Amino acid sequence: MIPSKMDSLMSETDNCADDYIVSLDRISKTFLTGIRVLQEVSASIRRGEVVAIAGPSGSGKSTLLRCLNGLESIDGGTIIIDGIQLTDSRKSRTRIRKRIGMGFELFNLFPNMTVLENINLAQRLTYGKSKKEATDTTMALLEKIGIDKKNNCYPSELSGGQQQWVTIARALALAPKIMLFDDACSVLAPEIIREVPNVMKSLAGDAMTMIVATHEMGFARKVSDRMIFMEGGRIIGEGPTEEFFNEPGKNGCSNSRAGCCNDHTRFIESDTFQDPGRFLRKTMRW
Amino acid sequence: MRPLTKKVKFRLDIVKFLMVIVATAGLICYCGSRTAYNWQWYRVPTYIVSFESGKPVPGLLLKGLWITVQITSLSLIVTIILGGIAALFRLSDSWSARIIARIYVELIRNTPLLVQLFFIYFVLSPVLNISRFFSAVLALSLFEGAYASEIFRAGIVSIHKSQWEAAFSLGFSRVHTYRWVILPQAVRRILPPLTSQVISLLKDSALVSTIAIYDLAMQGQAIVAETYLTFEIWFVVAFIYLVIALILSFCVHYMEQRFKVET
Repeated sequence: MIPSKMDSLMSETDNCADDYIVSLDRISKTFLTGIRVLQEVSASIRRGEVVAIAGPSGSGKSTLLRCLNGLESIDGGTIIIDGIQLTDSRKSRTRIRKRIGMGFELFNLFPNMTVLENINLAQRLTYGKSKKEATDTTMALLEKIGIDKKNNCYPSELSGGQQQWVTIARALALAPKIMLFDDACSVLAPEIIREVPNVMKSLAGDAMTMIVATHEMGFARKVSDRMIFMEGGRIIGEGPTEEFFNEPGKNGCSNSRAGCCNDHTRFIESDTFQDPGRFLRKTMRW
Repeated sequence: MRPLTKKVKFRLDIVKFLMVIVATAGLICYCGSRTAYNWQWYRVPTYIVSFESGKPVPGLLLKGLWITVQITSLSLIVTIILGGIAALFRLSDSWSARIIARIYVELIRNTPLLVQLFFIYFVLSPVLNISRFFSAVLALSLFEGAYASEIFRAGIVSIHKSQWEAAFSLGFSRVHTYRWVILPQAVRRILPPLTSQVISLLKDSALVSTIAIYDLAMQGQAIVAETYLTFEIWFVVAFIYLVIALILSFCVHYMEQRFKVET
């Protein structure tokens, strides 16, 4: 990269570093099969914000999340996380991954290790903590989420909810600034997601930014401050969650529709959401 | 007709089993008696172990067995190293590493071991100054390594992608992910097919007799040539291979239990 260009990028990064923890500028990605899964997606997310990315299956919301921490590469555009630009270099990827925790659709614990080892290992490998330091952090976390007695159990011996908590605890043990939840609603109760910032705050005293990909509107409403709607690899709208749900009449969304949103109706399955693009254009007037 | 009770079914099953065993044993005895072969089992023990002034001295067959064990265990170590490297090459991001591993596996798997053994012994070893013994070890490990690499690769690929993603998202490097997450889980799936491969290695090691290494098979051949105890010696040799292979199976079975992971 040319130095002057680099400088301008750096200063730009510094300017927005305080407000925006995530800045996406026209990122695009095409799968090998030729599907354009992300098309010029731009978005900014403030520190401490909880953002829900909603959209039907195949809208690219999962891929967008996976691009943020470098699990998928992008073909074009820039991703800047906490002032660091994500490039192909291993170093930038590792730095960004230290700042981002991820809660997965499947629980994804390592089945060959106990709960304690699962949570310790990342701290020891990524931050080089000693065994004692790591264990202290882990036990404090497990106590917070109320499963400290299970520390020597294997993941298969835990219930689904406990496994999900351990996955989150494993990410939180690295003190990330951002948590990503991919298709969280299929496995997570909204209460758990709501609890995550509290657990984090009591541990690190830090505000946590969260990005949740989901296709359940009721879930998105319960957890998020702001919503981003995606369809066909594009962002087709965004706005504060309350505004969207609380003024249904104003936006042309009938009460029955708002009702079905409350009942955890699946975004893709309900009649209203057969064509989310049209629905949103009608309801949100952008 | 009334359905049979469990107990009756089990008894019937035992009877069928005994009938098969008796029939097989009868067939062997019948053939043995009809061949008019002069069985001289009493001459065999001296080839296994003999006594000189009260002290046991290993016979020719045991000496051969020792060579077989040496060749097999050395080859096993090299096989695992070669197979591991080839599997990692096949799974790497580098195009050239993948193609090299691919060529190695296809070339070795699709040519006879005997030809490879002759090639290494008659063509390479005089040039590179490799001893007869190590030519044999090299040929066997190259051959079995190709198969082992496919076993390793299958085991590694069978671990769900989500495990990689979880590890990467926690900031693990590739090496760390292999070391702590993937390999410990893959081992359990690799062990059963690898056992078959090790047993193949043991039996394939008999081929080294063709380059005049006095392993178990070669000793057997030499004794037969000298004494004409064809059936007795070959039966004993086969039995020894069987025992060693069974011991191997049990060892691996024990290891499998140890590496067991609940998922």
